[in-house]
Amino acid sequence: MKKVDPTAAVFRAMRELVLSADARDLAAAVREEGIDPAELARAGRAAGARALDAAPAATKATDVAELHEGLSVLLRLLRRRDELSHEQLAERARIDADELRRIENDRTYTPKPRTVYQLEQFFQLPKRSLAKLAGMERDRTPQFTEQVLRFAASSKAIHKLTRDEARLLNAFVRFLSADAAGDE
Amino acid sequence: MPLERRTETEADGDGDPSVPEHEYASSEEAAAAIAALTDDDNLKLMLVARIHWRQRQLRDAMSPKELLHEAIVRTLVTSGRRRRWRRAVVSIIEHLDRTMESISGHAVGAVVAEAEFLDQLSSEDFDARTETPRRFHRAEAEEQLLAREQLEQIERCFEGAKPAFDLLRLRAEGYSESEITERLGMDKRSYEAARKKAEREVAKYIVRSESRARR
Repeated sequence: MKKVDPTAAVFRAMRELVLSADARDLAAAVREEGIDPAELARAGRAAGARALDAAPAATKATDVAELHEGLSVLLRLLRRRDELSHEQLAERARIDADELRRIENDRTYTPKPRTVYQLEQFFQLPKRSLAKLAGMERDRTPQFTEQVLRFAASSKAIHKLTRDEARLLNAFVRFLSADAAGDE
Repeated sequence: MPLERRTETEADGDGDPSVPEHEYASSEEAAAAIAALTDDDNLKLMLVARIHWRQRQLRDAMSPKELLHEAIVRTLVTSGRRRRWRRAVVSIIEHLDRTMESISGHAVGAVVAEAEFLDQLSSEDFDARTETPRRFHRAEAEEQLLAREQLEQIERCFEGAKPAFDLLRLRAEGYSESEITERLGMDKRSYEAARKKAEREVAKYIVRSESRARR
């Protein structure tokens, strides 16, 4: 049985009391302590307003990082599908192996445009599809991000592609193609 | 007793594939609900933020207002594994309360997984590094001592209001209203009076400065 922390339980009960209380009673009690309840409410509203202002930027920044995750996963799966080491892929696509490792392992890394282009060519992916995943293209819909997230979350880091992974990879490449066709 | 520690993923069903998508609010719906909060709602949220802040002894690490702000931002950023609001299950106020609980609990832990969020929000157009909680570490023995002191402080704040404190204590232990009235030998009217008194004493305790609350 989970041990209950009595202090935490009392604080939880305090929160429940506040949330179910009549706000006028709370305001009166706060005033008794020399604090203006309207000032507290204004502080809460200000926190909300600031968050509402910040959220679009936060969403955008988060999306870019998550798209990178999709890029890493896609490259890893494609490389494994073709049974290529980093060095082999780098040599064939004429890119730098260290950069390839960074793309796969560092979600904050923005790859060089040439590298992205070379990889698109090598894997015969739709034009600008990897660039979009690398966050280089501003024109992307929430549905695109959602699909990328779903794809990244579904993949697993194992050595050989399972049938499910192969299916997932194929479906995602088809999605990229359809998305690219929609952009044209 | 150590302060309660929870991780973000424990706190609610974020990213839980068994939760139907329609139960989650979109960022637009969450934004609309937040914009529609009344002064009474905001007062309650700030009081709840202060309770978390006081409970976790966050002090300079993060103000109650910063805690609330952070909870709202995480609710609005609905992509990925953020704090998605299950609007079909809890109100926006309850959701923000739970999110603040998660963030404040997180801030206390020595191993804070805040890095992911900070990394993701490191873009130039959102200066998250100044707006997200700073991490700090506290030894377990210190936490235990603080928790004991807090319980004593709360009890002192209820001096002269024993029924109200008993009610708070029994609610904390999970007793229902009928069980509490039976245990304390109260009728419905005296229970209501004790509950109102407890609400007022809680509000006073949490807006009181820490130094005054210690006395």
